[in-house]
Amino acid sequence: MMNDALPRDVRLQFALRALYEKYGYGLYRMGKFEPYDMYRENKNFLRGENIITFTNPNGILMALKPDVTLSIVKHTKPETKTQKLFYHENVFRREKNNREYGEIWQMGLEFIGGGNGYAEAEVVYLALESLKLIGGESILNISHMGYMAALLDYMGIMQENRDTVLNALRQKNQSEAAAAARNAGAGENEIAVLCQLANFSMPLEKGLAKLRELCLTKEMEDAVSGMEELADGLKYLGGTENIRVDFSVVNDMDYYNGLVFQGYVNGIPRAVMAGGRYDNMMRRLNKPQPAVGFAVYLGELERALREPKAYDVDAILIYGDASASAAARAVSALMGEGISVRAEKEMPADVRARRIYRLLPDGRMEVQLHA
Amino acid sequence: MLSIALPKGRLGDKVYKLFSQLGYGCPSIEEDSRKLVFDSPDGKVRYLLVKPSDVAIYVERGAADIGVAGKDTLMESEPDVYELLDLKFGKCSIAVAAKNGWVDDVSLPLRVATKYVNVAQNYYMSINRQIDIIKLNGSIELAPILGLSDVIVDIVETGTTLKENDLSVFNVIAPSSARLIANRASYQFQADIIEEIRAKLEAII
Repeated sequence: MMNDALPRDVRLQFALRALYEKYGYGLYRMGKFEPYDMYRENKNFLRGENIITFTNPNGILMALKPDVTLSIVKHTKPETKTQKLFYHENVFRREKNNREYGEIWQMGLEFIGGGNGYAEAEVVYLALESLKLIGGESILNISHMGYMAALLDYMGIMQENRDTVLNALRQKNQSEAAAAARNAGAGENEIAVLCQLANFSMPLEKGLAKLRELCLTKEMEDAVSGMEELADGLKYLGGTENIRVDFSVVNDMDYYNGLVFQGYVNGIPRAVMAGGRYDNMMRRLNKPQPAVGFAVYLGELERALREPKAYDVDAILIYGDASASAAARAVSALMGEGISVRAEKEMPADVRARRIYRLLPDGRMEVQLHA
Repeated sequence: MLSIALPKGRLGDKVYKLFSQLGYGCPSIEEDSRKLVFDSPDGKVRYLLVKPSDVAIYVERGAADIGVAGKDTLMESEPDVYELLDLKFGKCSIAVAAKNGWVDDVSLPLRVATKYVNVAQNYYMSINRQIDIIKLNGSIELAPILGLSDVIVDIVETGTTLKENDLSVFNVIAPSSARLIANRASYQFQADIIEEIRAKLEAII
């Protein structure tokens, strides 16, 4: 049974854990430190290289874990057919515009070895359920890196221009996306398609129909078929009403190759969840399996889920110069009422209590404040 | 209620007039006052008046749902926001300027005075030029005159200030104009009104 006395963010962690275990995901525990090389080789995956490093006693440069997925992938044996894992770990990173490193709690899951079809539907369903557990109104935006890559290939937009176009898509910046595509020599018809994608935000079914309409290549058609299969699966799992197709969800193409998604909760200014299919990252680390997963950013939620408390403690007992036995009897008596008691020699500063008692020399308690 | 961050000053006044033409008026903002927050009588929108270079932060962190900011400030702070529309006014360019007749000595690091530290660094990194950044907060034009720097990186509108100080544009880094920006999460939950504003603005600019 969940204890209502626990703070909301802690209750959420238990609830998420129970959800993932219910679907057969096992807990993955990672070491605090890992060799730095792995992170250096994949620094684009981490979007920035702000990692805390140190040299271990054997002279090997180590890193304080900045991410969990890379570690899970690295520890996956190439011959393992399938692996379903979830984690609850703190990672260390320096966020943009921040001079200090921060410790960020993340919870997430990975379905390694799951192909398109059901595996994707299950992971997206668990993402939707995770958002529901956070509470309030939520939206899961999905897009498809394969669809985008196929379009950009067709348009002949390569490396540098590609990054500019993807960045413009991320910002829903139609004019900049069009300008970068024009700069790369793309045709006006394709630029029109790109602009539609830059301002794309539709409910799942309608969005998929529109994406089908915009297809220019076989790869784009295949990507839409994959998303349709996902939609069919989701209908039987829990519905698709909170899903929107939105191409401002853009992840690095070197790592993500198919479905990508981001979750938002009303009232929290940033995405609280991100995930997708990362077969390309598996290939980079020489693993043959496909993989899909997501992470919930508990750090973003901590402040939002904090419930304002009117009181720090039910009662303060000021025992002054009373004897140990007199003070102990008074504390026991108050505890007997089933309340929390903070016993102090003098009135503490900055502590809010429902009631304040003062222990008198004769052992009686005098009520000083009763809210 | 949708909260809208406007840059204090001329640009903000112009943007407010535009919004009020589109039906998002808020008479209290037109009164001369020191207030910084104004709610429209119909409860549809709230205006926040903030320092121009802070608009992006307010929107990125969700203190405002949408805002209008110059592209120059967006290039400098690189906020993670949606950039929904180029409003095509408040036009200027971010440029490198130097004293008339100045010649670049490539054997030394270039001393650059600017308040656009990030823009300057990105630009010079893209052309592999080593620089020595001098961060100033105002009267940037003074730096090359006094020999504090070789060049300045600043916004140039008409070029009059440069001319009066015997400076001229050496090259343009990027054009700038006012942009409609939106918080990524706010957009998800208030897409209807945000898209309505975007469409109405697009129709009249």
